[in-house]
Amino acid sequence: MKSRLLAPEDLNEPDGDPPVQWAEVSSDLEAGVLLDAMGAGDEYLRGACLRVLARACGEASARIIAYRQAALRDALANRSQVEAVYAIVLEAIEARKKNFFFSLDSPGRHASWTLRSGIEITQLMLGYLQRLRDQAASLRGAFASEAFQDLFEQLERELEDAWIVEARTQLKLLEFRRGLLFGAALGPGNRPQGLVLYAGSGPRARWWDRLLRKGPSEFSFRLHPRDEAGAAALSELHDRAINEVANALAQSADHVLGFFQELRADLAFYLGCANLHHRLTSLGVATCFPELVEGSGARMRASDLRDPSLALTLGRTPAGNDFDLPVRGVIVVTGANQGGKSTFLRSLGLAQCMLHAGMFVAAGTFTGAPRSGILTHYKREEDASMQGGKLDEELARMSASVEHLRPGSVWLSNESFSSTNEREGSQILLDVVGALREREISVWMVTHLFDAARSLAVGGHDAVAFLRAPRAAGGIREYRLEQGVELNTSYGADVYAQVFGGTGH
Amino acid sequence: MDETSPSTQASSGFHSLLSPDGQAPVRRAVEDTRALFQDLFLERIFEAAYGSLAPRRRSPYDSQGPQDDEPWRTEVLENLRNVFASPSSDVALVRERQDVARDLARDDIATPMRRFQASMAVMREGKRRAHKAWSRIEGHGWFLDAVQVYCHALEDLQAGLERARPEARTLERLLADVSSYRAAPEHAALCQGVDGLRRELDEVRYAVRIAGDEVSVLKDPGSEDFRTVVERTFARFRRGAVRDYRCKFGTNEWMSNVEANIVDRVALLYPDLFGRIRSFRAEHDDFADDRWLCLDRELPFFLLWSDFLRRAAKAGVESCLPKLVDPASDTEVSDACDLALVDQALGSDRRLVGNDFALQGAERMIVVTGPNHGGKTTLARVFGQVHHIAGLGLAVPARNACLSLPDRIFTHFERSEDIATQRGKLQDDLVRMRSILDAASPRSVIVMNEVFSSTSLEDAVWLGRRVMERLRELGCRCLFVTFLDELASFDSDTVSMVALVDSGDPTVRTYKVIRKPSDGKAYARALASKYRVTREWLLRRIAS
Repeated sequence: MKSRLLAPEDLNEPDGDPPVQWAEVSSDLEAGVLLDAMGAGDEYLRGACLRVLARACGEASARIIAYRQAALRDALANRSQVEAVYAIVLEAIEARKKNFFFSLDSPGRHASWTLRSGIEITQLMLGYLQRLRDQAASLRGAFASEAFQDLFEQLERELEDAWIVEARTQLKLLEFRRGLLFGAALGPGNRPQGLVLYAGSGPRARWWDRLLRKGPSEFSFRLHPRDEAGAAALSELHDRAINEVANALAQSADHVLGFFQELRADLAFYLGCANLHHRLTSLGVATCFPELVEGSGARMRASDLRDPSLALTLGRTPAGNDFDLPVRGVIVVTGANQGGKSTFLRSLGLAQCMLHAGMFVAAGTFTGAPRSGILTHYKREEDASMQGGKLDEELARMSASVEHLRPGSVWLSNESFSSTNEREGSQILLDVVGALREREISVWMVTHLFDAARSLAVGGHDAVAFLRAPRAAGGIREYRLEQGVELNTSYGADVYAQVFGGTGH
Repeated sequence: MDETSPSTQASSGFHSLLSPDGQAPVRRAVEDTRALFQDLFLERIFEAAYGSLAPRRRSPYDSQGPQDDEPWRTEVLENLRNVFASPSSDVALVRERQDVARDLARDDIATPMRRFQASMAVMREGKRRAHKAWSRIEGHGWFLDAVQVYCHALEDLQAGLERARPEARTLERLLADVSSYRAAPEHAALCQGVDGLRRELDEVRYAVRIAGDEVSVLKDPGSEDFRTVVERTFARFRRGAVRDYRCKFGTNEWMSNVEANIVDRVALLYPDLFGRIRSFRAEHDDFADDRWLCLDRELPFFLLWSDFLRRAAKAGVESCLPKLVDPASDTEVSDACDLALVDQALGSDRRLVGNDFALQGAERMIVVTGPNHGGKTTLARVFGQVHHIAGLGLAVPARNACLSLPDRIFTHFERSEDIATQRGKLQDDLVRMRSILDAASPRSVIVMNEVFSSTSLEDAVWLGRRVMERLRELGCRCLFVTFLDELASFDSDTVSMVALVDSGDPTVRTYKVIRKPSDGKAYARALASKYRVTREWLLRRIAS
């Protein structure tokens, strides 16, 4: 039994570390704000969502996205039912933790303790499984997605009554009320070895059979009551005999627990999405499930695309952006400082991540394409401890991320290579952009390197789109970008005037 | 010499890897070799090569696991120490050892030999346990194991040697003796007997019932493993790896009384089999032949040395079996390294620097000068080590070596621990020098390191010359390390070698010592240049 709420059976993502670029991507795009809203104070929910989102900066699969979108639609429509299932799962996990923490997790030297705990835990888990199954039976009709249908169907099929009865019978036998019987051979030094435990305690010669020397030939001895060394040795032999079966039972209990944990993690993602959905909706931020397009000429379109983390931080709806841009190619954002360039880049990056994760995005409408990876290269804040090594550091980071760039990836760059003079920086940036384009990697970047922007503009590539942050009258910024290239310097004077008063120009 | 006819030898059979014809090299008194071991770092080399045989230090709480055969290891180690301290000047003996060493350096011979050693260790353990086991049935088990391992070890050794075809006469004899021993009916009976009994024991099956304090032993009814049943039931939940909950049972050194009682009753279930085992053991109690036990004790001398040289190769040390020539011929050694530094170099991932030395024609003396820490003392040790190791019949740490075996090696190194008055120390130095000159012969090798440093320069030069004159008369091979440039040009037959300095950065040590006229000022000039205080620099820097 597997929880397959996040991906269809044949596409289950392997466990393991998230793509290495996640650490940078998440801090550059401020995914933490988003995750906090998904967790809504529950660390576990946050962690489960983080795992899904972290994977999302790797290669995306259109099929998984569609699968999750359907399941998420179900979850948003039946939030309280999903919460009820989650509650049972959580209770099962907590019960295992609370009651048996010490006995199974510190097995010490005694297999009999392991067996005893294994029996009790398994008995308890059987109860929860039964409850889960009954709950599932009552919910089947309300869910339309392949993911939830598959889960409910599995629960009913695998946990039928006959199986539960059989499992309980075996637990009874494992108590070995009439003693235990095991087969063995002679090992090195003729020691008993290769112990194989049997169910039951085997044939027994009764006293009259022994008297008449009938029945199975059998040689017995009894420990002397004061033979303490012998008693210890006998108990060790006993433990050796049940060691394997105790292990099998404890591991089975772990597998059952594993199923509950898997289910919890999967459900947590959908509950986290529901939390985020609720927060954004209550802030008046429009959300939608992105429509997927593919192909070389595909275009990425959006209306009212917003940066959800900015909305959550501000507690209100920020300005949205509309655009219609080629999926493959270069997007260059230029313009005034504080003109909303970084916000726009982040809204684009987050939307791409959320699209990859199978989530809704913060836009009125959104059309996008699954890509083979998301990487970021942002200007780092000044580091006082580093003198003159900034360009080194930037180039080193670039060189590190090159390891993970593949055709079809997206490279988001925010003021890259601006730590050196403009001519050098522009040259490096142009070289990088040129190489990435040749490798069919989309470049979405914000830059102040007008030299580079100008070269790209003059080049006249139709796959290069320009957006600029406009300057509004009175120096008050409107965070809405417009098409076009801004080739002048930034508006430092404006900001200066704003801060220090007086007329800027 | 190798072609001496077998009839003149004590016996044509196999006796020993080390003294094939029973004539062991003369062993010197410990006092004679102590200085040598200390000055040439031979003790350190011995430890590095053979230290794995030393008794293992164990915590007093560590009672688990089989006790290793420390008495055996100690005996072997002591024996090897004696052998290592007793180089021979008998060319025939050393050549025969070199032949053995050459064969044992071949993988196709070393591998079966190592397997043999491993088997013999198992056999010793089996015999020891068979003897000490409290349960008779357990003792029988260990005894059969020991016999079986012994039989297989010899079979494997014979097969291995037959395939490899050793060239050393000693190993040819070994193969011949092993083959005839194995062909004898007594040995065949031993092997067949033990294999048959073992097979029957392996087939013994029984069942044990534990009910309260009563334990019953019965024939095995055979049934399904309960574990499989449980696993099948919960198979539907199976997913990735989970924890292993199996308890680890320490292997007790011996059977418990409960186990002993059980196997006693197993013996009652199979009375005939255990009766036959008892009489087999009585009949073959002392089954191992002394010759193979001796082989096992002596193999480490060669095999651990090859291991050590293989380790040394990782630190850049090449090795070879030296070509042995008569005392009048030239000495040529190239790329020789100090084996005492191998472990240190491996630990810090460095490569050792090799140096060449040669004595051609009438040359007998090498004088090494140069800056401190430039590798002078190392070269002195290497010079002694190579001659010592050559006399053991082992490969020396050099790419090429051509030398004659010395009758003795003398060392005279400065002893920092001798804190005496200046005069007392000089006197002591001279006394030691005297006794060396008295004992040395033209075939000896003498290594001296900074001997007269305790006196004035003038005195030291004068004393040095005197000693060199005496040595020239004697005609033995020597190497001096000294800070006295004058000694390097003592006469036209004196070889001058100088420790090199990196011209760019004089603080970098090259450890390269090459043959060239002594020039004590080179290092100082380089250092001055680095700190820009040479004449040219000073003129340029000080404005005129």
